[in-house]
Amino acid sequence: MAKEAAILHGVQKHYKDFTLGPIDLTVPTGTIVGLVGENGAGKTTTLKILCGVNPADAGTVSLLGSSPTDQAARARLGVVFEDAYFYGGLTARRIGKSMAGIFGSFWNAQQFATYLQQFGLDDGQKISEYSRGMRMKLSLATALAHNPDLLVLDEATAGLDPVVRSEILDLFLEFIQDERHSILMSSHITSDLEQVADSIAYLHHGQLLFHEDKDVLLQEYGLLRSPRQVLETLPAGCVIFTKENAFGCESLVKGREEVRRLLPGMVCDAAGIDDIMRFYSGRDEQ
Amino acid sequence: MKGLLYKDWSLIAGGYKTNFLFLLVFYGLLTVAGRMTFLAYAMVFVVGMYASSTISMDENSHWDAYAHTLPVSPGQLVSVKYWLTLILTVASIPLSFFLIALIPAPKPTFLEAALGLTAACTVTLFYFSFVMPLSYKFGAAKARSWVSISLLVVAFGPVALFPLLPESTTTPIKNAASSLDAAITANWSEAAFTIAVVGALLLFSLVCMVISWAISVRIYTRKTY
Repeated sequence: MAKEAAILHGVQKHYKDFTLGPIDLTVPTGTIVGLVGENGAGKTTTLKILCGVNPADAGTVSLLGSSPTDQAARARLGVVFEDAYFYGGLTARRIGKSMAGIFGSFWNAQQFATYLQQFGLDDGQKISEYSRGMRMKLSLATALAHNPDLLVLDEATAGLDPVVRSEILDLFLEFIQDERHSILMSSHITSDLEQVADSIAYLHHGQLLFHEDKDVLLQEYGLLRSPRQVLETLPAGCVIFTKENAFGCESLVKGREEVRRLLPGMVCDAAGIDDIMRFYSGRDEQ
Repeated sequence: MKGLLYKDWSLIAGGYKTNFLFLLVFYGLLTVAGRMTFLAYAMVFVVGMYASSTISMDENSHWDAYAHTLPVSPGQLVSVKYWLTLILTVASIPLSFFLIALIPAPKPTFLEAALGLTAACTVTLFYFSFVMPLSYKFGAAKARSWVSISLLVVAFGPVALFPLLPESTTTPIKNAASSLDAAITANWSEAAFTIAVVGALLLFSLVCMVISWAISVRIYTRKTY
């Protein structure tokens, strides 16, 4: 089994008003990689290139040790895109039969039925009568029923209530238990990623700003509240970006423990993924 | 391929069940009671076109982007539409024959009905051959408009243009047509000639289907989402 479920190396994609990359991103086998970024940062573009929906203009893509154009590799891939992709007139039962024909021996009809039951979906009901959350659950059931090695999820938890989201996140954790399965998921709900992801990749304006281990990331970054002049005493590269307000400065700092040691009188809280995104984004806009 | 065919069949069965029943009752009544044989022929076209309408359904549900992540090739994704059109067109033939058979005497002979249905199949396949690559290139709604406009121009353009041409241009054309007519009349019976023309056109429409399929696959493979 390959050590990496997916590798993007120097991948670029040019559109009239947007350029992605070049980006290097790896999804290690047996892990969950969270892909974050603002709207239009290039998350969906990246995922579509990886899944073989669109070709890259430059760079190489390895999907499960092969190319995204390889049908055998795609048979081991499960995908959920944000938009629904089954016509409203279809039912889950008909989708199951259709997917059985498409995936052949990979498809596990019993597993699909179990997921539908677990998610409380009526397999005879038309998709147009499903809520957005139900449609997303159907997409997940479809993506999981052929026991893929890699699951690619684009905003899969969007529109779901906290209880269902929690169930689905548990499902993801269960999915990667055997260390053979991997997940690459993009989400705006960063608390979900903080809960399940092993590493976080941050895309900003088409560039991958970082891809770091989540625990390291959450331990490393801090939110420092201090007067402006104090910041100048910190080592170079420690302050990522500072926002000034009426009460002083709020800065995103790297090396939280070091900052706490250097500035014992200041407040330096742990920074969440949201905070990190907010400050990196502010820095670049400035 | 089997799964794709089932998916498209499900779209048609789910989306057009009522439409088909209405078609059957309405066209059936008018064909039989009103002796409107052409409606039985038109049914071949309408049923055959169900397959192309699945492209709009795919567009609306963003199926094509998702389909690229499945273990199927662009060729298979496109082929299924062509196979379904052929299957539906062929399946509608016995139904149309049945409606014609129900017409009280005097009704079209078997040969007349067969020729009419063959011509209807030809029109269906021609239309489909044009509309499919355009649908994949510009979207289903735009493609239908373009094909309709093109057909109007091709069908009525020469008729509208011919009287406007100077006599020096039209006379040689008229003479050539008369000579051709005389040659055909001398060598062919009317029935044999009609069968040959309709058969050749059907064959040509099948060739167009194959060319259309190759173009559609090329467009579909290069399409980005």
